[in-house]
Order: sequence, then C-alpha cells, then structure tokens
Amino acid sequence: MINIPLKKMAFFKAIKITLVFTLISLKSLGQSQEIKTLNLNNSTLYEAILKIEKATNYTFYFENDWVNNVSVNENFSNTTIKDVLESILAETPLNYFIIDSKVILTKNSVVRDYLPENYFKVEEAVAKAPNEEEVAVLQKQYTSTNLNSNKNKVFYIGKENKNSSKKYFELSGVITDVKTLKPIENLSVFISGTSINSTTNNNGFYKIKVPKGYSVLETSSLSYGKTKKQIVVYGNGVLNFKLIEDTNALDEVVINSSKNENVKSVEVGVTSIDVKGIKNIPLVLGERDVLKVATTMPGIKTAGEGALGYSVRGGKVDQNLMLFDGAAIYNPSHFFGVFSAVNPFATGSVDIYKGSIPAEYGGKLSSVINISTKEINKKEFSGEGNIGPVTGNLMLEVPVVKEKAALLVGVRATYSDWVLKAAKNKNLQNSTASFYDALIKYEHKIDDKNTIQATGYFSNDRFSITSDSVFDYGNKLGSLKWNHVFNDKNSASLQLATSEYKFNIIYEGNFNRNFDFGYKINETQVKLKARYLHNKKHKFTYGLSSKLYAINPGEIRPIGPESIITKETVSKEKGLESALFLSDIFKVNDALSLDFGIRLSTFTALGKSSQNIYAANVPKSEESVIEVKQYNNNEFIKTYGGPEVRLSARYFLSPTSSIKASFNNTIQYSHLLSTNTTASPIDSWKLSDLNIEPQRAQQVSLGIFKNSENDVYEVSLEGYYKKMKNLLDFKVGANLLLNKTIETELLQGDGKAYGLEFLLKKKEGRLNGWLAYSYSRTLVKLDSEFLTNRVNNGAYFAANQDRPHDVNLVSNYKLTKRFSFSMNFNYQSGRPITYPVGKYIHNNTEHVLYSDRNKFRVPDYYRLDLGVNIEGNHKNQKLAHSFWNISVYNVLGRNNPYSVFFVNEDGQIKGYKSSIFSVPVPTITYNFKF
Amino acid sequence: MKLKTYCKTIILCLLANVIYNCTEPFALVTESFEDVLVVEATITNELKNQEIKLSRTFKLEEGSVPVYETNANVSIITSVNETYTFSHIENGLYKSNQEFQAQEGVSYMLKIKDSKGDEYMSTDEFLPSSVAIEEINTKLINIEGELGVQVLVDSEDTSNDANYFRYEYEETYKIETELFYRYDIDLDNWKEQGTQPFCAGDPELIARPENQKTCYSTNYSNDIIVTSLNGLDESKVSEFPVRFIPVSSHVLRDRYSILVKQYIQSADANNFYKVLEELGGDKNLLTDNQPGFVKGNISLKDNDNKKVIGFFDVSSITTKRVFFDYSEFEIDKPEYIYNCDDLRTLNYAATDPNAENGRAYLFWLLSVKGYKYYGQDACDVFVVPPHCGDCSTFASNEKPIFWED
Repeated sequence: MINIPLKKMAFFKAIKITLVFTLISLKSLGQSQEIKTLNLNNSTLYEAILKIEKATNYTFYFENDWVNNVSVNENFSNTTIKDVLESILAETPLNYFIIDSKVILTKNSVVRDYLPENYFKVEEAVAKAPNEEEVAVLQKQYTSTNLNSNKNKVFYIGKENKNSSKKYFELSGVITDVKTLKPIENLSVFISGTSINSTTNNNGFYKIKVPKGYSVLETSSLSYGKTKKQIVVYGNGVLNFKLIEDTNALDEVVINSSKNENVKSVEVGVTSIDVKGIKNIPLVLGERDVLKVATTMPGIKTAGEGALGYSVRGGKVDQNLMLFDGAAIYNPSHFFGVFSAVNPFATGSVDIYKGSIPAEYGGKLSSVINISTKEINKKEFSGEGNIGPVTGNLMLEVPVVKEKAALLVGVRATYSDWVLKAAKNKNLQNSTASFYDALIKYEHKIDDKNTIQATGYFSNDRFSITSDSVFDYGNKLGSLKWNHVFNDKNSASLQLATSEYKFNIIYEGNFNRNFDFGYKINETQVKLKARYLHNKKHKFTYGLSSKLYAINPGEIRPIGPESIITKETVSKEKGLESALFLSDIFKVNDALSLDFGIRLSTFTALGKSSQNIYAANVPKSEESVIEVKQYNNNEFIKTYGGPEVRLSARYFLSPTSSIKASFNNTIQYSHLLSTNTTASPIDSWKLSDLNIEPQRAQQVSLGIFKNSENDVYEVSLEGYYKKMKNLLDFKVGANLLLNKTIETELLQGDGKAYGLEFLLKKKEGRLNGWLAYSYSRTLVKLDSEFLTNRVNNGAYFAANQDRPHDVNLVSNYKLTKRFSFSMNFNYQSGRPITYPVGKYIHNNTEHVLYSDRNKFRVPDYYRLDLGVNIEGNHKNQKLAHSFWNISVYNVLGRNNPYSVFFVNEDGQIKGYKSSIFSVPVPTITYNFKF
Repeated sequence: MKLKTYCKTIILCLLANVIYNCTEPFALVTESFEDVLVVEATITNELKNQEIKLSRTFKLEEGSVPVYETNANVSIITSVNETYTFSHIENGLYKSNQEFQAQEGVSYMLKIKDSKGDEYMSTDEFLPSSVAIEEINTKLINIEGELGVQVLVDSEDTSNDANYFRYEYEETYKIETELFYRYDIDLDNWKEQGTQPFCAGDPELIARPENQKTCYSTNYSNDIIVTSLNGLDESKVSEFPVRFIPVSSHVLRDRYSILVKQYIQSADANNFYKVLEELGGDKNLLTDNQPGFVKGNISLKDNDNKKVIGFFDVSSITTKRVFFDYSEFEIDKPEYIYNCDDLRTLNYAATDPNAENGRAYLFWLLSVKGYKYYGQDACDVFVVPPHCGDCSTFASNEKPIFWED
C-alpha cells in the first residue's frame, strides 16, 4: 500500500482548512508542463499517479481511499498534465489543483482561485440555498453550522462542475441493515427542514432530490429509529449506507417515529407506538407494556388499572381488531389486565387506527390495533430480557441460515405464586395466580422475490382465589405469510392465520355440584393482499379475505361420580366473514392526496343450528317463541353485509402543516357478551345470527397537523363524530353462560361518540415527551316499546366507557448518557356508575334501589409515576449490555376508586369502594441485552 | 345452573391485596332519593291468614327501619271471582281478613292502592305444584378453611313443572345457662351488718327458679336462597346447602333445631329473587355486574315507567324440621354464647359501706346490676354476670311447642 509521508498528509489537512484563505496568493502559481508519452493501461488510479510522478516532477497529495479502487485505461502523448488529470479523473468525484509542482487532489470540491461573489454572506446563503443563485460549495459552510448530531462525519456527494448552475441534484443509494445486510424497505428518507422526502423500495433503494450544498439527510423507521447524515452535495451522486438497530443508548421517547409522518400521511387518527422508546416510561411492577403506552395517547383508554381491553374513541372493548402478526388476538392481557400479554422485547411496532381504518381490515367497529413482531437479527445470536419483581422475560434471536433464515423465541412467566404464598392473609395463601406467554417466529428469505414468515403465539393464565374453583384462560394463535414480488410495480402477500381463545372454569366444592365448564372460539382466515404501483399518482392495494369462525359456546361436565350436574353442550356456532377490498392512494397534486378505499364485507351464519323465531309485538322470551327453525350443517341461516367506505384526504397547508379529513364506516359481526360494567376474561363471544344483528358505525374525522422547528415539535388537533347502531347490552341480571336463548336477555341500541383530541410532542432533545388531552363523550340509548327492554326510559345515557376529560403528560429527561428520568401523569374523569337512590327491606334483608343507569361517576382519577433508568457501563468485555429501571407507580399514593359496590352483609347494606394500586408501588427491574 | 354464583365467590383484589388492601368501606349518602313502594307478598297453599308487607324506600344513610305503608287498600282477586281483602295489623304487615290457601288451577292477582292514591296491580299468578322435602341431612365439612356443620336439603322427586325452589329457615337452639347455681341470695332478708363466724348460713339463700336454667332462641334466615333443577341430572333437589354453621358457633353447644321451608316458585319469581341476591352479593373484578332496577310483576296502573319493588309470588310450601347438637359430630363442645370467665369474689365480712368489694358492693351488684350468686367459700362470695347465670336475661325460657329433646 502507498505510504503518503506523514508530512504530506499534514500539509494536505492544513490546506483543507486554510485553503480558501490562501487561494488568492496561489492564483498565479498554477502552470502547465508538457508530457511526452504516458501509458496508463490497466492500472489503478494510484498506479497511474505514481507513473505521472515518475514521468514529471509533480508531487501528488491525496488520500489513499480515493484512488485505490479506480481503474484507468488510457494512453497519453504530447499532452499537458491538466489534460491527463481531466481525463483520468473524469469518472471520479475527484478534482485537482496545481500549485507549483504540487498536485492536490480534492474530493468533491473544486478548489477555486477566486472567491464567490457573496462569499462573506455565506451564512445567509446557506439558509436560502435552494432559492438563491448558484453558490459555490465551500467547506466553510458546514463548519460554520453547528449541528446537534453526534455523528460528525460529513459525506460529500458528487463532483462539482464549475459550469453547472443546477440548484438540485439527484442522490440515490441502497440502505441495508448492518447486521443482516438485508435491504431496508419502506424507510423514509428526507432532508431536514424541507418537505423533500422519499422512501426506499423493496430493494432498499432510494432516490431523492437534494439541494446543492450542505444538508442533513435523515432516515426514519420504526425498527431502525432515526439517523442523520450530514451531506455536502456537489452533484448527482450515490450514498449507500447501513443502519443499525441502536437500542443500547438511552433513546429519546419517540412515539411517532416517522419524522413528518403525522403531517404527510393521508390517514387521520393513526397512532404509532415507538416500542423502543417505552423503556423510558415508568413501569408498573417492572413490566414494559406497549399497549399501556398506547393509552397515554389521546382517544385510547381503559376502564382503569386492572381492567381488560381498550376503548378507542368511545368504542367498547370488543370493538377493536387486535392483530398479532396478522392473526387476531382476543385477550392480550394477563392478570385481569395488569399486564399485557404482548412480549415487549419481541414487539417491532404497534399501530392503532382509530380514525381511518385501511380497507384491508374489517370486522370490528372502532379500531385496528396492529402489533407486529420485530424483524429477526439473522446475522448473529442475540437476546434481551428482564427480571422484575413479578415476572421474568427472555427473548432470543437465533440465525438458522446466516443472512437468510432466523428464529425468534420469546418467553415470559410469572413467579407471583410465591408472593401469594408469602402473604399473611390465609385466603391469599390458598390462592394461586400464574401466567405465561411464549412466542416463536421464523423468517426465511428464499430469494430476492420471496420471503416467508411464520409466527406462533401462546398465552395462558390460571388463577384460583377460592379453594374450590380454578379459572384458566388463554390465547393460541399462528400465522403463516408468504410475500412475493412480481416486479417493480406488483407485489403480493398471502397469509393464513388462525386464532383461538378459550377459558375454563373448574369448580370442585364440597357438594355434589362439581363441574368443569369450557368455552372456546376459533377463527381461521385466509387473506390475499396485492399492491400495484400504477404510477406516481395512483398506488393500489387490493385483495380479499375470508374468515371462518367456530365457537363452542359452552360445555359443562360433571366432575366425580357424585356430581349431579348434567353434561350439557350448547351447540356450536359457525360463521363465515368474507371481504373484498380495494384502495387507491391518489396523489391529486403535490398538496392534495386522497386515500379512497372500499371494503365489501359479508357475513353468513352457518348451520348446524336451531334458531328461535319470536312473535312480533311482544318482548322476546321463552314463551314468545313461535317456531324453532332447524338448519343443517353449513346451511345458510342469515347473511348480513354491506359496503364499508374508507375515505380520507390530506391537504398540505404548508410544507410543515396539513389538514386531513376522513369518513369511515364499519360493520361488526362478532360480539362480546358481558353483563359486567368492565370486561372480564370469562366473557364469551357470540356471532350474529337470526336474532342478533351486526353492529354498525359511521365516523367522520377532521384533523389539523403541524410540525415545527425541524420536526422537533409536533402538534395536532383532531375531532370526530361517530354514530353506532345495534350496540349490545343486556337486561339486569342476565345469565349469559350456557344460555340457549341469549336474545331474550339482549338489548340492542344506538350509540354516539364524539370528541376532540389534542397532542403536543417534543420528539428530540434532552427533555422530550408529549402532552395529550382529549375531550370525548360516548352515549348510548336503549329504547324499546317494551318496558323490560328499556333503560333510563329510553333516553341517551353515558356509556360505561364515557370519561370526558383525559390528560396525559409523559416526559423524559436525559441527564447524562447513563442516567435518565421519566415522568408520567394522568388525569381522567371518573367512570360512570349506577348509584343507589335509596334502600328498602325485603325478606328481612336490606337491598338498594338502583335507578337510572350511569347517572353518577366515581371520583376523578389521577396518578403520577416517576422512573429512573440507569445504564450499565459500556465496557466491551461485559457479556451483556444491561440497565436498571427503578420506578414508582402512583407516587402521590392517590387512592383512585376503581369501582363502588354495595354488598349485603348480615341483612345490612354496606358500601365499598375498591382500588387497585392505592399506595405508591416501587419496582426495580434489571434488563439485559446481548 | 348457578354458574355465576360460583364465579362470584371469587374475590379479586389479588395482587393488590398481596401488597395492600384494596377494598374499603365508605359511608353511604343518598345523592338523590326516590320514594318507591316495596311489596313483599308471598301467598302459599297453607290455610292461614295470608300476610303481605308494605313499606317504602328510605335513605341510604338512615338506619334499618323503613317507612311502613300503613294506609293502603290491599286485596287479592282470583280467577274464580273471589276477593280476599287485607287489613293492616302493625308495622306495614297486612293480614287477610279470612283464612285461605292458594289452590292449583286458580289465578291470583294482587291489587294495592297506596296512601298516595296510586293503584298497583300484579300479573296473574298460579300456584305451582307442590313438592315435599324428603330429608334434611347434616355433614361436617370444610369451606374455605373453616370447619362447620352444613345443613343440606333433599326434595322429593318433582313433577316436570316444579323447577324453581326457594328456601327459608328458622333455627331454634337451646341454651343451658353456663354458670347455673341452685340458689340465689334472698335479698328480701338482706342484712347490712353482722355475720356468723365464717359466714356459715349467712347470707340467707333461697332456691333459684328452674326457668333460668334452660332457654331457647330463634333466628330467621335473611339471605335469599334459591336454586333450580335446570342443568341437573336429577328431577329433585339433592344435597342442596341451606345453612352452614361453623363448629365454633354457640348454637351447636346444646340442642339445635332447624325448620326448612321449601317454596316452589314460578320461573319469573325465581329470577327476581336470584337477581336481587346477585346484586347484593360479593363483588369482584370478574363479576362487576351491571346493577340496575329489578322489575317484578307488579306495576302502576296506567304508567309503567313508575317503579314499584317486589314480586307477587304464589308458592307452594312444605317444611321439615330436624334436631341435632355438637355431639353428633366429632367436634369439641362450642363455647357458651358469652364469655363467663369473669367470676367475681366479694368479701361478705367487709361490712363497712365504703369497703372495696365488700358487702355493700355485693348488694349493689346483685340488686342493681343483676349479678347472680355462684356459691361461696366461707366469707368469699362468688357472683357472675347476669347472662352467665340466667339465660332468660337474653333468651326466651319458654319451651317451643315443637321442641323435642
């Protein structure tokens, strides 16, 4: 290898910095010298330079990297060194400058022998660069711009052409994953401070128009976070680079990773959770919980701590389509909702569609919560885990065929049983509560055009609080997906997904009524989705899906020979839900984009079944059955369906602000049966049939989005109005398990929900986080011509999930590289309850009289959590990277009532309020990664 | 099937409870009060003056005494055009002016005009067929770590239409005074001064009445006990638990008797009672049931939005009584109802009126505080609190007519 004398390099570097100041004095020194013959065939540029040095008395100054891989294949005779250099450097980004007998090679920049006209106004010129006249690109421009970025490397793009007056050039390249070397697709690439942006295609290739001069090129994606690269653009050029999943450093909390996605995307009402960022949010009992973070965003709520399910924009908990790698997950929580059943280490992204729902999804009224597992590291064995006071969690990534195939395994289990055993309370000592979940995922890249991905997931909860009964519930799901790229314009994926939820109650008491009760719902879906990029203006997504439901609504079996329980099975329910969908992202012009989607969905309840037909004009009851219709296996019982319109539009008000609107309608064919005010794991699902109509909703949303200060701040305000039909409710005291005539207990009514959602985010800096506020109402009307089917005299009343005010403040302060503090504050209006309006004595016992439903509210809810993350040191010899998280949940010790209830004790009514975490709960968790 | 009831016995504070207590009582305050008529009306196939109770709702923060509805017109009209009118006796209790019994195949309708002039009517109700109690068993079992005697009921085989059962019980137990002594000090011949050496024959004693030795006490069930045959293999109620008595309960100390009343109800009546029971039962996160107004079969004439509480229930009734005591089970004799370790010793010889534990004090304890003489050792006189020496101070000493020893 060449050894440029140290002296020379030092000289070169000195020149680089002082060049511009000395240029004037150098002006007259450049001169030409004749070259007789020069044979540069089959040599590298480096060899060529050596030959030129031999043939002349010129000395070259350059960096090795620049000249090693360039080949030269030319012969020269009777020419000047200038011509030789022009010729051999033509295809390279190198320029030259000759001073005396010294040839200085520079990369990208032309060394000028004159100062540009407005040189001394350089700062101003930078700011206005794209609109100004040609500005010579000088090193000074970037050295004078102070950058926050910690990576100070500057990339020089293209070669300057003195004669060019172009203001914009084309930059392209391929972005790959540093570990897997796999091209990163769908990565957004953009220029800071402008609206210039692009995304990588399937091959990781991007092409972007960049202004001449200094710019910051940024990339952003959910799995790779954000990167910044300083570039100085001289001409068209190529910049290939690799990205790394940089999770070791203390990340800033970023919810919407895509830099300006909120302003740019056509959809309105979409929340993306940055999964890596959640480690900087205080924890409860040491569990990182992706879905809990979601509830700090406007429009997404739970009924309280320890409540199952999520209410999105006033919807009920059964109105969310929750997908886990494409397969529906029915109950993604453990321990009655204290923990989510989604492994945080294996989760790649969580997107919540609460306003515009893409046409490819359907079957649920309120939202789509799309959880994807992370892309597996196919290069080397790695893993992540944590140890908390209640659970342990481990996730491993194992390459099977290097760069091509890999396996991910995640396991989490609780050791809460010993906590219960250690309790002083005798009842608690007899209790057990355990849960675990396991995940396995396999990815295989067959070739550039074909990839397959398989995911399996299993979760189970088991608890027993009284010695006579044991409850079990769990999810089981699997999905298999094949992606195929036909050509640049067409790609498709075929997915098979199946999911099962079941619960079981085993009762073994002292009497002859021991039983084993089981419930199970299973669904299997095939979905074909294709993309067709017609042109810049039209991008189509289309496909079809079909889902078969099979429900075993209940089976009860006696346990033991003494049990007098009759073995009984409620006959199986079957239904087929199918849909055709088509959507087009239509870019009308630079400012206006439309996303027009339509979904034609249909549901058919299938036999074998018997269905009751009830007399009209009397309340449905077992007495009013006028006919029982029998249906054979797979015979159509009833078909429902209709078009679901998914329309949204975005209009840029300025490069950093936009206004969006959407209209959506949805239909839901499967329903959660619950007589509880909050959902429970032993609530069962039921399909629409002859007597239960599907739920329907229509929603309009309007939002305004604005980013400022280089997308560091993000502000949005969204409003929505939703009308719902056929919402399910039940008569007081309805018994739903093993009930063959559920429709006699059913009340179907209308609902309306409306609200305003405000979000302010600071995405970067030492102090970052977000403030979310929503005002939302949900009202329900259960009216009927029959008194028994009327609630609150048929007037609208607040639904159980109605909590008008909701404020969340989540923030993170990075003190040093190793220490960061986090804070989370939440305030919510109390949830509505039905409160007694008096009491009475009946049968020697006090009872309370309940009047209008949900007329009162439990006291307002507020809570403050604090946390600190302490990173382990980053010594190389350490086996694993680790950090400690110390959190205190509910620092203020606020006793937030979760529910208020009235119990009859020895003939007297007592009122109780219960809360879940009524005192501060400190937790320490150890996290590691290798 | 009473699946929900089983689910409900689960208390869920679970994890939170592990660390901290999560449920706390609070004082009930009525935010807005609704005045509603409450009807307790069960007529049976027993020939008697049938009873109906009327009261009104009262505020949550008030005690346990309801407002009685005393000026109502109450009558029952049958499908065979009989009308039975009721008259107010006391505290909202109305009795039929004549004895009658519900009969199969006849419909009954309750009519009430309350003191406010509102007229209420029930739907027509029929008497379900009667089913007798076959037997009442007892069994020593452990429930949630507590050992006790479980009273179980078996009905006879039913005809097909008797499906819904409701139970009430009356338990009566004998109380043998723990520290009974055959004599009392004769306070009529009380001497303030002077005594025999070693207090021999002084104070003067008289025989204590026998009726202070044995007493009887009765409790009535106050929980709603309902069951049905739905989902069961058998066409009878078998081993259905109606009363659980912990082994430490004093009611088992001497003889115990329970009268179980079995009502056969209509499905609607059974459902009404079941929902009432669930609304007042244990609550937890799993079954945080939506509460609401429970409508019975009585409504206001011409305005079905106005509330009225209660169910006019026509039931057939059968009863059965059993007797037992602790010795029939392998358990220790339960403690006496009161703690009687407080045996006091007084000095009869200390005649100074100001003497501590002297004669004057003894007189005060016996005459004013009702203490009972419990023998003496020379001048040391032993006395016990009244409930330890005389059960009639807290229970009835009249032997019930049904009592069998």
